[in-house]
Amino acid sequence: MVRSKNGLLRSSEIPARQSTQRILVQEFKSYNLQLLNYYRTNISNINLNHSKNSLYVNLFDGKINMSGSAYLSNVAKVRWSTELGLNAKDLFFDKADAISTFKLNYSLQDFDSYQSLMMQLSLNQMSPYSPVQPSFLSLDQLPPSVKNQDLSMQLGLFADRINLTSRFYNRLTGGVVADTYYAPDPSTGMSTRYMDYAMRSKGVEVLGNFRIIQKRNFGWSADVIVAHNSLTNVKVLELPYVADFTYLISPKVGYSKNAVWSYQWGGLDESGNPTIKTAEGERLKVANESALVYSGVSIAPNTGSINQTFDIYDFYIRTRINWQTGGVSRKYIPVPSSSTEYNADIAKRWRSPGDEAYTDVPALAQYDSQRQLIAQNSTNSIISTDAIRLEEIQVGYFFPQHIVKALRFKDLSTSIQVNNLWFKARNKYGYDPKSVSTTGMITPRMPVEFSFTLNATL
Amino acid sequence: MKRVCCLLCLSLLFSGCSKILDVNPETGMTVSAKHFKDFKELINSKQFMISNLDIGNMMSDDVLLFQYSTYSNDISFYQKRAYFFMDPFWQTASVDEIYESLYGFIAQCNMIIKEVPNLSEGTAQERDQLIAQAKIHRAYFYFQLVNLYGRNYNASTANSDLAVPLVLNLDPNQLPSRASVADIYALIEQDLNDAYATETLPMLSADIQYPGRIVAFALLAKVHLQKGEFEKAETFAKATLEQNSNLIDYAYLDSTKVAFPSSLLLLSTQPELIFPKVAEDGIITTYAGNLQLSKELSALFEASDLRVKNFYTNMGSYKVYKSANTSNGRVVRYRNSIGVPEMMLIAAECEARKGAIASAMNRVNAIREKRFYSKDFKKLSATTASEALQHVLDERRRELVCVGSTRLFDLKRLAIVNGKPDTIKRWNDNGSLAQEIPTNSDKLIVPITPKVLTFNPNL
Repeated sequence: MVRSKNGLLRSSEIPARQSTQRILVQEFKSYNLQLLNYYRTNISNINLNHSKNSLYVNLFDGKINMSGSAYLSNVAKVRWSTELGLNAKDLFFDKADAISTFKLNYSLQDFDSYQSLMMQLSLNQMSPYSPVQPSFLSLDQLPPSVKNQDLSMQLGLFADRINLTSRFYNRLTGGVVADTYYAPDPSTGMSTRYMDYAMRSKGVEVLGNFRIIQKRNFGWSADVIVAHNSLTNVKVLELPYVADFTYLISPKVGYSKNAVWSYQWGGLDESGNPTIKTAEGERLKVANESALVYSGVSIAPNTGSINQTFDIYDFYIRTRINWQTGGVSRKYIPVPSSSTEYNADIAKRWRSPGDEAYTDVPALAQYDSQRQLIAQNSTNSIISTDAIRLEEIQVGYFFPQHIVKALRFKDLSTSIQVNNLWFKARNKYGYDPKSVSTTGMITPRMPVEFSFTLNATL
Repeated sequence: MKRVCCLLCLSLLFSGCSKILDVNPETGMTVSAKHFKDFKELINSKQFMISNLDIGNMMSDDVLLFQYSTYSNDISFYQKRAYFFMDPFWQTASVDEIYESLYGFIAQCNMIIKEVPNLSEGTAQERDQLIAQAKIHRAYFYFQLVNLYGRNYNASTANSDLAVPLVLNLDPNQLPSRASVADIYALIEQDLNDAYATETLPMLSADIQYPGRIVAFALLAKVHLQKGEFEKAETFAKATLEQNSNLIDYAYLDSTKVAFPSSLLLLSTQPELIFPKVAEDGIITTYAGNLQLSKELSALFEASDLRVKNFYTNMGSYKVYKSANTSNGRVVRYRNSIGVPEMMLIAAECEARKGAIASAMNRVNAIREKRFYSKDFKKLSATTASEALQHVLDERRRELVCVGSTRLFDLKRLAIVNGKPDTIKRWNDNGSLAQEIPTNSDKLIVPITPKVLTFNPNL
């Protein structure tokens, strides 16, 4: 064993993590370990002793609840966790009959990496003297710090026939992570370097439950969800400009984690070569940082769905419609060369002067990585991923009780369900955004599915 | 009853997880090395022995590529860029696999050298042995790096000539700067001196994975030759030969199995090898079709030389490095091992340079005797030291074709030793001269890729 100092969790060796891969060397009939990574984390010398001081307040017969906790550790850190609940219906709208429920809730969690670690430890039910190592010790680094604010509201109207729930959250997550973009210097012999990062996820979600019609033989209800979510890099190690695809999707401070960057397309030149345009309007045949523009985010920030249910006598109809807006994707543009190419658009390639007015597919030429980079990653290949889709329709029937009883069942129902029935996308090619890869290649669409269900309960 | 319970508990405690759960906690795919056996497995690397160093061969005057057969612009075809000394050498997104793999190996060695002293497992003798072996490997890898990516050692400029980073610790976030040629050579020598001073390390290698002290001697001979320190080079070459002076007789050689090894294990059957290495490359056959020997090198071989028969195929008027069909496609295999013949030639060169003509020629002829059928063998002779030296250098070319960039390193060192550079010629397909590069040119230094330079501003 590695010589360790006293104490299990404070061992100076534990934080120094190397990860190696054991492979069988058949020729030697023995195993070989290959070093993959080595990371000396900052867990060393931390003291996991802490005290948690909590305060609970209940005011006005429980109409206002407040709880707060302060975590104190001897690394001179104090962090807060607070929750405030307000029953506004009982406090302010007691006489308003139309309002059946009105609650407000605010919570704040502010945990640094050490406290996250403590929580992991407590979740693992660790005893400080247990010989079993907790799961965090298999990690390369401390868990992230989290600062989360969450404001939510629940409003019920007309005896909760209309129920609106909204939530706003703002979460800042930070810590040390393996950087998948910024490669370490090869002379370190490692494959991954680590960086301090902070990322803000922010969003608003509104959920509405509507019982629109409730008659004896007819009912119509709908659930509507509308959400806007964003994920923004607050602190990352930005990649220096490199003319390759990785740079175009690498994280940049102030932009979404899913940001997509493109070169400003300059069209094909008179020889069928792809060109880009710098901010000054200069046309270039090779990738250049000054021609880069922000193209949007690859994951649509705005999403929503409507689920409706119609009950007509013993029949029911359910539908689910989803939509998304605000995202972009790429359309694949083939770059004809000596390399194998299967895309059918190769037929639209530039062949003679004048074709540049009609096509963005470059002329057949010797393979060149720079030519391919700008031809396939410029603004002309950006397409919207806005789409609406009828995800599901289900038509069902509950058999009447006399038939069910005659058959000695408790319940008997049947339904026909159709999935992936229809979609409409806002791009001129009609591409289904679910079926476009990151390079713009089209993958097979989800097929329309029909299913028949017979549900019998004995 | 209490005693029985105690015994039962103790037996469970000492039997470990594997007995109770049938799970061995040490057999994961990704593990953290902490036991002595783990560190031994770190050095038990096949990759250490099969790393490709062909970029140096391509820069040398041993090979010939036709321009028409190198039409492909594929960035993986770096041999073409090396052969034609293209500028820029690398494309924007190029990855230098040789540079990266050599440093990967060095990191493994660094881990052993750094961590093994902290182990309490294994005996002190075993730990010292392992550290010494890691230092031998590290010295070899740095020797390749400094000579591929830096100027040749020149006592008057080595302190200011910058080569590659000198990385001794494990930290993926460090951005090291280039170290001087002198500093890198200092580490190489220190590592090798430490290794041969490790008395508990056996003199002869136990097997092809774990080097013995003899490898430290052989590498020191190479290092001092490269530095132009002939007296020391001769001492270490002779020290090596005292331990192993076996030569394979090519007259009795099964060339398909031994001269062109299809697997690493076959190397262990070659008694003349001291530090076995064999690299495989399929890129050159993919893009260029064949790897031709240069006309100058071809002209050095006599028709009856068995090295021609064993290693090359006649294709028209050219000699082509033999290739073989494998599960990886058609490949060439470079014999990168350090062996007895190289040590004999180092000793011979040093002897020739100091005027010991007879001794030098004896060594050359001893090698040649094993490279011809007895009916074809003719002794070479020399009357002057320079004539003997030329015979040694010619024999060196014949014996060490595409062996771990030796020829490129020779060209670079001889430019300094001779006081004037030679030239490397490149030809157009019609036979006319395309370019001529002096052997002291910085074009013989493999540049670091643009991406690495961008990511590390300290380089």
